[in-house]
Amino acid sequence: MGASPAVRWEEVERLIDEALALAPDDRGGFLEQNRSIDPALAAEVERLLRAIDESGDFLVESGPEYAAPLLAQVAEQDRILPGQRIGGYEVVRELGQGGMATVYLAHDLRHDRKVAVKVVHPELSRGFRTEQFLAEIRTMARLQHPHILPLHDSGEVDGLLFYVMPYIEGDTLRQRIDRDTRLEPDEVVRITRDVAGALDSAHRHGVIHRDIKPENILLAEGGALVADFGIALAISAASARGPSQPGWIAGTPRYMSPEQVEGGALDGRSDLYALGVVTFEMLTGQPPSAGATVTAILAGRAEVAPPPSLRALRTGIPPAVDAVVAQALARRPEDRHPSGGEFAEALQRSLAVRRFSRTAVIATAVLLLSGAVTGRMYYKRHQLAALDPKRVVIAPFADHTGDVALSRLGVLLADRLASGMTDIQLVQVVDAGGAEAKVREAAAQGSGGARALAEGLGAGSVLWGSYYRRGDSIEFEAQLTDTRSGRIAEPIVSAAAPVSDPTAAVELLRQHAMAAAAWHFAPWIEELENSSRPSNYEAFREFSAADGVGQASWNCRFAECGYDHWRRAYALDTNFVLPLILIAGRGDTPGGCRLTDSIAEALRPRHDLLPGHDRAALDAAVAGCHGERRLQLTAAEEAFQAGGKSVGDALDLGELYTANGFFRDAVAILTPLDSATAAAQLVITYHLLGEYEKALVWAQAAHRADPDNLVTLSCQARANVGLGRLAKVEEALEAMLKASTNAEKRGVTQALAFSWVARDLDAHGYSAQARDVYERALAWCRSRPREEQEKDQKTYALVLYQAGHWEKARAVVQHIIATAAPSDSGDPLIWFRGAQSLLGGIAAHLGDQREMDRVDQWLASRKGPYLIGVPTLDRARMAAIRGDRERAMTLIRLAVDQGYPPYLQDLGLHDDPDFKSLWGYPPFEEFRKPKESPGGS
Amino acid sequence: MEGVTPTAPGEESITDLLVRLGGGDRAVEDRLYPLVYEQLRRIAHRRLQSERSGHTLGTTGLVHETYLKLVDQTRVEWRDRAQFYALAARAMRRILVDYARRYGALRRGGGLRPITLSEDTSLTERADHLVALDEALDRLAAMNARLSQVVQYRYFVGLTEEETAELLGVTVRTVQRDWAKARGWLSLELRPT
Repeated sequence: MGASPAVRWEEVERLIDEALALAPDDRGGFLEQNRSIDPALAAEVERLLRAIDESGDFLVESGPEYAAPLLAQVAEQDRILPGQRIGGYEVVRELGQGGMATVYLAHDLRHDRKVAVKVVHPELSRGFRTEQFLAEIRTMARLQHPHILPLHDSGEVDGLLFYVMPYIEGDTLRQRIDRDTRLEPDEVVRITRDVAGALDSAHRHGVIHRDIKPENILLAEGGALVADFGIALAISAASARGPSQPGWIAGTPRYMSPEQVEGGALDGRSDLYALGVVTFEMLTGQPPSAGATVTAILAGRAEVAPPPSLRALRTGIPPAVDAVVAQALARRPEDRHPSGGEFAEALQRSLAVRRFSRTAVIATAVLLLSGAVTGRMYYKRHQLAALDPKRVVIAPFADHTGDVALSRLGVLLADRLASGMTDIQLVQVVDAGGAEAKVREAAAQGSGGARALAEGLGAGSVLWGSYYRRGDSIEFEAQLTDTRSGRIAEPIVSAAAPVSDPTAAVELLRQHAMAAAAWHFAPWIEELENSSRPSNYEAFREFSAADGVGQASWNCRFAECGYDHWRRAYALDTNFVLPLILIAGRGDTPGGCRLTDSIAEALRPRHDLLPGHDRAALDAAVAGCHGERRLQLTAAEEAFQAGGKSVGDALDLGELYTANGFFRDAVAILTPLDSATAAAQLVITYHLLGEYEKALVWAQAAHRADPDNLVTLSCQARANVGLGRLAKVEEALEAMLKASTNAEKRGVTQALAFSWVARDLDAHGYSAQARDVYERALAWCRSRPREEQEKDQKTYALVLYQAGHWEKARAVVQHIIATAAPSDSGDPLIWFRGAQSLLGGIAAHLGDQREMDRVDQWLASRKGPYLIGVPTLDRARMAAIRGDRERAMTLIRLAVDQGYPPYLQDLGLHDDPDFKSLWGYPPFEEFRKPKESPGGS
Repeated sequence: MEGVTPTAPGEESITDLLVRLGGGDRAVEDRLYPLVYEQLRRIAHRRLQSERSGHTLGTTGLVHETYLKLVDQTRVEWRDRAQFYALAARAMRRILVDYARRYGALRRGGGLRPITLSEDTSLTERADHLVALDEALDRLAAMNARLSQVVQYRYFVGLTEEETAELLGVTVRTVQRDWAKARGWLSLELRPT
């Protein structure tokens, strides 16, 4: 073949270039004229020149065209025909083709059953390290979960790699979406939850799917099944040729997380991103970017398209859904939901939220104020389906000053507002290309022109307003308008400044507009009506920052709950009282109640002027702290109504109903929420009603939404206690041992959860089993590392007490009292009271009359606010233990009069064995009957 | 909860990589290439399934479909698009050669059903040709990388002379000369002996 050495090749090329520069006819003489050339070189040049002349149509047909028949033949040849065998499986027919493999329905000859056999495309597996592939696949075979399609077998035959799964009758999610385009919200939630559960379980075992997409989700009768777990990794690993040459990225770009595309380290949150894309697609019929890309091409836009809003693609979707899905699609993994369960729960909650539009009265009032309403507003929804509310056009402000010197102010303002909107990072400012005035005019009139213009720009919101002089000051008014309806989406507090310094007003309005837009669009702000809003962007940021500090956490008290952020938010904008109201609402301890009272005191001069929701919520908080239960309920109901029935208020109210014995009302308000928190509360409510079947259903629902939660697991066990299914109880206990402790997050340990179950066992007459479970709880405590034991002495003491180890319990309690530093327990008073109560109980059980008297006197002498009858109930406890039923009953009634909610702590009196002597005692049974409605207590 | 910035998925990241590649960040090429390869392979595979009667891949359409699938059109400039085609060419070459080698394996009796003697002998020729071309292109690249690249862009993804010139940053005239030289040399290399 005579490949020339490279040194000479340069020479050859140079000469050929010279020859080619000549006309074809002159080339013959070219070499003649260069006689000085080395003969071997000349021969090479000549040979090549001739080849060039003769190359004709060589390589003229493109490679893919040339290869096509070959490729088709290979594909045909590699197609496996019915009747052919792969290992022990006889192919029945082809079911489909994927990017990685072809799937066949086959007969498993050994087990005589239908299976699905997937064969990796042979042209893909060329050069695969087969062993690597099969080893990876075997790891995955260990995954077991109700929503993971298991792997039966895998192997290699004649160079073909295959793996075997059960054959499932039913569509893939891809087929389903292709057929129905959009799925019903209920079904979307179900599928998302199933897949999320499968993912969470796999992630806990350290397995990441890497290729979640509708093709890999099967819709079987019992729910969705995730197929192909770990196949992507197996293929990637098998095709790698060492660390410097990574294997193929087996994933599907449309569903890949940014970190997967970038080749970064992956964890389970990468799968959650893909699930977010799938959820988006189930709701809208298209994956997020497809819409953006298509519209972008059609509109010929050159800027980055934002992800399309779900709501823009499907009407009737609550705004919170957008936020939830957007969070799953966050670019950074740490901004996504921490687990699939949390994503699924948030999705379910958001879809269940009833959306109440801001009242037309307010919107109209503000519009009239701006003097802009001239026409009737109406719209046809379907024509505007593609508008994205997060695309904002900023229109120049109307100048009503009549002062030429001020005419440029509108332009400056639009400029400053554009930069402000960009800064909040929640919306995209759309360049209207000079059409702003038209947009504004059209938006104000709600005319057809607005739709056309807005559609052209894809902008669902217009930010605009006007300015005018009033005496020596200049004033700006503005609002964020929904282009679609022409209505005010969010009012903006107006701004004024002396005419001598108009830029001050501009900056002020910028702040107000940023706060309003951020509040309106931030996905983490729940829709709440009749409540205060920040008018200052920094205040908004502080308020949002509190969210990150875990204010929702069970154990959360004071500063660590984000109270500091909330306080600063209020300090930055003293009209923004909501953060203070939220702090006040957490006054469920004496220390917290002192704070509640101080807040109420600070707001007293403004009390009657507070927005309806905030005022009612504050009233409820104060009443709760003072044991005024009737008042608390009325106010909480009012807050719930005024706030537009927000989920947060509904949960609070439901808990309050249960605590006060209004179980039916609690069921009515909690059931439609369909959230994990609500489910956990419903388990307790149904338990109290004695409807254990229903309790079990909700326990299972709560467990599905949050499988690692000890509270929901213990609820499941307790419902089964009520039903007498002790084998199931044992199963739940086993599961509880495996669950992670989460003490930090939920304040519940295995020991505590076990003790609840034991207490229920005792209450239902299974005392031997109860003792056994108590002992296991104690064994669990002792099995903990030393420092952990030290930290959780209180639970240990409590379980010792409940298990009947009085002496030991007393020793531990005394040890705690002696060593407790008042500062480290958050609220020392409450524990000290609890310790005294335990000592009293111990004394009662041991028959130590002197100690009982001491504790009783100490409890009776407790004075001051916020006690809400708790010390009195502890006194009733001692009387009940001693069997003095009359005295116990008198004290219980007194406690309730003092404000004690009978079901305050979990199941409260319902199953507390200390009150055993009262069970069956008519006055007590009468007392603990469920109440009919809040009016009857 | 600060910093929750919703973003378009997959494509946007790929587009980012492409833009960075266009901006001279060569390290991203290693990352981007497998993505382009994989997508191209899937689309080619699908077309073979659905258009078996025609036995055609439609080079331009194939690469363009891949491009549309992977890239957010609105954000890329010509230079980025060219980078994409450069990667696609490399990927297409690899795909075709993989298929050709698979054909060879089938002919030698690999697979579940060996190829029968009655199969079209021109297919054997095509397979051998592609494998030989692949090897020859490696040798050509060792002598003058640009010649090999010109073949890759023109032959495997069907770029025009103008597009190839732009991508390589040379004149159209140079591309024409390179294309002639490469074809001449390759025709000699692949000439049946």
